[in-house]
Amino acid sequence: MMVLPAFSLLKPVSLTEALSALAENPGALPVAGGTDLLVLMKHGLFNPSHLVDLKEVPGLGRIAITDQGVSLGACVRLSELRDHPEIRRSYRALSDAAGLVASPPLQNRGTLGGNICLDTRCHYYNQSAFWRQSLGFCLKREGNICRAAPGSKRCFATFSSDTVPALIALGARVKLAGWQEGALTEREFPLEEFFVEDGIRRNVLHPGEVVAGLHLPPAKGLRSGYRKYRQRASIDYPLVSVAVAFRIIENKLQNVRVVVGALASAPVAAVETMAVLEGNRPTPDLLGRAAELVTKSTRPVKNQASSPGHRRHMARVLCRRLLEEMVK
Amino acid sequence: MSREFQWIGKPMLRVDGVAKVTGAAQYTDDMRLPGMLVGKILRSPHAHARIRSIDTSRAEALPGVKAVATGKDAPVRYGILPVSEDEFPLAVDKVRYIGDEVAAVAALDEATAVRALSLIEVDYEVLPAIFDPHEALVREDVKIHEETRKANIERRATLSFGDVEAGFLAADYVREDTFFKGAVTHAPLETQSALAQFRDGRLTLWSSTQVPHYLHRYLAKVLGIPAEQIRVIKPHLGGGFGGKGEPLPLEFTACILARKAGRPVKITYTREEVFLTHRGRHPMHMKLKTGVKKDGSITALHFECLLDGGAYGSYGIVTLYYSGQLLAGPYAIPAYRFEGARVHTNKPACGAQRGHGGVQPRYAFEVHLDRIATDLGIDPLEMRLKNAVEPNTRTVNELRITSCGFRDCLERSSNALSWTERRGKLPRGRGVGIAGGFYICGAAVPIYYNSMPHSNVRIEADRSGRVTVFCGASDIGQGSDTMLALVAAETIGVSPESVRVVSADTDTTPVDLGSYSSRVTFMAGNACRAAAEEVRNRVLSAVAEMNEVPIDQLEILNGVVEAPGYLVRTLSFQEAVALAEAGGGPVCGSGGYTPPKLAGKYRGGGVGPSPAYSFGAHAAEVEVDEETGDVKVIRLAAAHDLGRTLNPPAAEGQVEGAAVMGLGETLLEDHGFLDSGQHANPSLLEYKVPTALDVPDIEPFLVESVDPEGPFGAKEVGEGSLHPSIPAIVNAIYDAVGVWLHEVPITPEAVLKALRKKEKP
Repeated sequence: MMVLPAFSLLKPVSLTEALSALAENPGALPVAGGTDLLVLMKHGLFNPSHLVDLKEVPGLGRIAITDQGVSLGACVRLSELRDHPEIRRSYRALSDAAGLVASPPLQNRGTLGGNICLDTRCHYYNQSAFWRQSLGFCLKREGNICRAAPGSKRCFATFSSDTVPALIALGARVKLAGWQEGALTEREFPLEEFFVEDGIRRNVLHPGEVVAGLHLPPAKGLRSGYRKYRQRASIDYPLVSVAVAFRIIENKLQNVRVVVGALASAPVAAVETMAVLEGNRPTPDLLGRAAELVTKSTRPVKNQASSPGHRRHMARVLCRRLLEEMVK
Repeated sequence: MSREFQWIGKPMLRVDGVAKVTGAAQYTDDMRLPGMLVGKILRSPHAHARIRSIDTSRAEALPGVKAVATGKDAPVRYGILPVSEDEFPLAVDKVRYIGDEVAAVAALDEATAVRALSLIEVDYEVLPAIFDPHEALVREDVKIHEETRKANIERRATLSFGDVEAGFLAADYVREDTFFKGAVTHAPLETQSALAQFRDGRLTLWSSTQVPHYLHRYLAKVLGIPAEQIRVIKPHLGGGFGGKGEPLPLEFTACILARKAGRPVKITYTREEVFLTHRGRHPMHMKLKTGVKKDGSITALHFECLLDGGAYGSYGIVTLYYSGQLLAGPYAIPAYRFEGARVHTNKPACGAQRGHGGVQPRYAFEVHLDRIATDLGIDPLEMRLKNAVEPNTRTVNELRITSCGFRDCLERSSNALSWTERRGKLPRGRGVGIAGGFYICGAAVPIYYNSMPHSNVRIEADRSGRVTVFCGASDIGQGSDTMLALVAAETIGVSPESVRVVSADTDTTPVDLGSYSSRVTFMAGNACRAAAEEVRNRVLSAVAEMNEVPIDQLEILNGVVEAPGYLVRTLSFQEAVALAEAGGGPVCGSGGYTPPKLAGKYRGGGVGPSPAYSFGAHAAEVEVDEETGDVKVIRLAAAHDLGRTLNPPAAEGQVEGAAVMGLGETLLEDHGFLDSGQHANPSLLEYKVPTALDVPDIEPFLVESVDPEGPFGAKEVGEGSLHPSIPAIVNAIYDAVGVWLHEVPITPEAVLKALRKKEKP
């Protein structure tokens, strides 16, 4: 095994303790399941002085279901989301997405918050220090050029979370918690606003701030689904993914949300697809036309196993197949 | 006396099974010795460079560092093949691929060792590198090895048998095709690990090796220590597939560091290092030309092959000859010409991998054969049955075929998928395909010239009633220890539970050449049987003498010595051993196995001959999604002629495992490199070994042709089943959607491209 660099482990038992620990130690990072971060650390991509373990923080592991919807703590495990009967029934896209992350052992360990904050991925980035040194470093870490798109000024590392497209389609809001001048700060906004189309910055989290949880509005007849394309039937990150949610009211598609994952550095709302579907009868022709537009706002680069063209093609196929299945 | 088998053919628990599933089994990396240091290897970041100088002073000064080594500490060439000794434990003057070993450190802990590596300063003069084998064929200005005479060609091989020109002239139809089979690697679960200890001037090396004997020899040579002062022990081993089948740099380096530090040193590869150092299957560019009569009978074959060998020789010259030699069956080919070359490139060395040498040409030939059958309107199964080799024949290149169940394999695998009713008749998107293959049961010629047995076994029965088998054979997870226990138990007549196996320890076990080329069941099995016969005779002689019963009237059944029809007391085996020991001292037997002289009398004639050959045929059913290009293997009927089934679950596991490995090579695994020479996917995340969900229902069919020379009639079962699985899938894709894929691995994009090309010819 590669060597895990040394760090101090802090195990706070309250959210304020966790946040103050992060604030006091600028080199600290939060950790829960560690399925993403520890691998990155072994590759020399992160070298935190401290890891602040959020698993023991009360409340962060909770799933609360009320009339107002569902609240999910950041430390809820992916396997809980996969298996929870109410989530499975009312928020199918999320349950399916959680069940398609990596493999069952990793779903037992990985958490919702971790999957939302998943680092963006790139062939030239997710490599050992030896490998990156041999090739030359890249924009995202230690270097000054993009190896995937030489000449580019920005980083195109791929947004690779499975749960996020599903959550955005389901209308999730994210709750962040921070620490400023000795006091807890909180902010909450739609999850799509959390992400930034920049492979390096990735999201709007301030240093020391953490994802505390998510809130899903009541489902109220919402249908949803998630499809993922990868080379193997397990383990792999998505080469592309599509999440869809809508209601069928009076035979028409309403409140349509279509989100594409793994084709950019952030999740992409397929606005053209949504516009075609919204308010219309779901005929095969309509679904086909809508699916054709699903990659319109994406410009992936060659930084994953499959070619950008094929990944976009697969997004269109998955989108159409998912729509067809969901209107049945 | 002939009788029913007591144990053979019945399921037997592995002798190491409980230890492995409970976690009690100790692998090399599980071992700790007092004072043990951690060793780490510094690797070249350049694909091709001259080393001007190495400054290790800062690393040596780092607290916790106990030894630093460079190429100067053992500048002795080695290599598994005496004809291509082109490696050093650590680089001398030059590095030849990204990952080449440059220097090494032993420290109190791993973090210190890693830190020390970063303090070693190497001054490199970067040289132009070659990654394309076609370029390596012609480029004179870049020499990866100075010794190569022409460009970077390590070896050219030409073989010619029969009248090839006449064969093509006699043909009614001639077809030519080109194919490419990409690189794949072994991906064993256990990464390579070696632990070295010097004590009282003697060296002990525990290592995850498939070949303790060859390692023993080369340690003596490279380290300059007499072999008698060296002990090599192979602990439990977690999968080899060829990647641990030759002495490796970490083994020498652990010893060099241990000698310098005066303390034990262990080196365990990271997963990345396993990929970087490779030694897996050669990528091959192949061209085939075959002539046939109207009825499908083959008249001549011309095969050309270019092997991308990577930076070092490894097993490559043998791979080169196998790639030619193993196309002369399992079909009768009256005239055959082979022209091949292995070139050096600045990539990790390729070597032996399960199915060694034959897998790539087999893929190409079986698809080529289907194309010919399709052109002629002949059913592919008929085509194969028509040309199938027969038992007790010789191939055109003089391979001696004895037992042969190839027809049975073709029939059983095709029947399992209802071939006749379904081939060509399934709805579009579904298809079935078939392919054949054959493989050696060990090489008749040893790697280094000698006339000693290839395998030796010593057996001792003691007064506790226990039988102990001592054999150098290396159980790498394939179950050779269990095989030895079973063969000894069956031969003597005791239960397998009363047999202990001591193996793969050069101090205590007699030489077996190792676990490669599917030789162990055949060769060590035969040696074990001979040794067990001797023990049985010793015991029975003593009983016969005491009871005054003719020895041939005695038998040992389930640990009880009886003389049916005679009024004598039955003895337990324990009592009988005590009797023998009292009469004549320790009850020991020994046996060796030396293959018959089978080498062809031509250059290259030593590669290919084997005392027996396994045969196989796989029938695959696939589903192809024409919109996504995804190929899903639904079923795989895998028939394998293994001579005789010794232990059914073990044999079935081998057939299934090989088929899965073939499936991975066909659809997923790609051991690729960037244009700048970096490994494209050095992790189990990005190198796509099939998961349990990617593997279809595999139905193994064990065909028993009962080999006249195999132990109880047994032949190999570890590797042969890899050969037919790849082309069976490719041929099934044609049946499903009408496209031929001449490059493997097959990506969904390649399928879509082929489909588009077919639409627009």
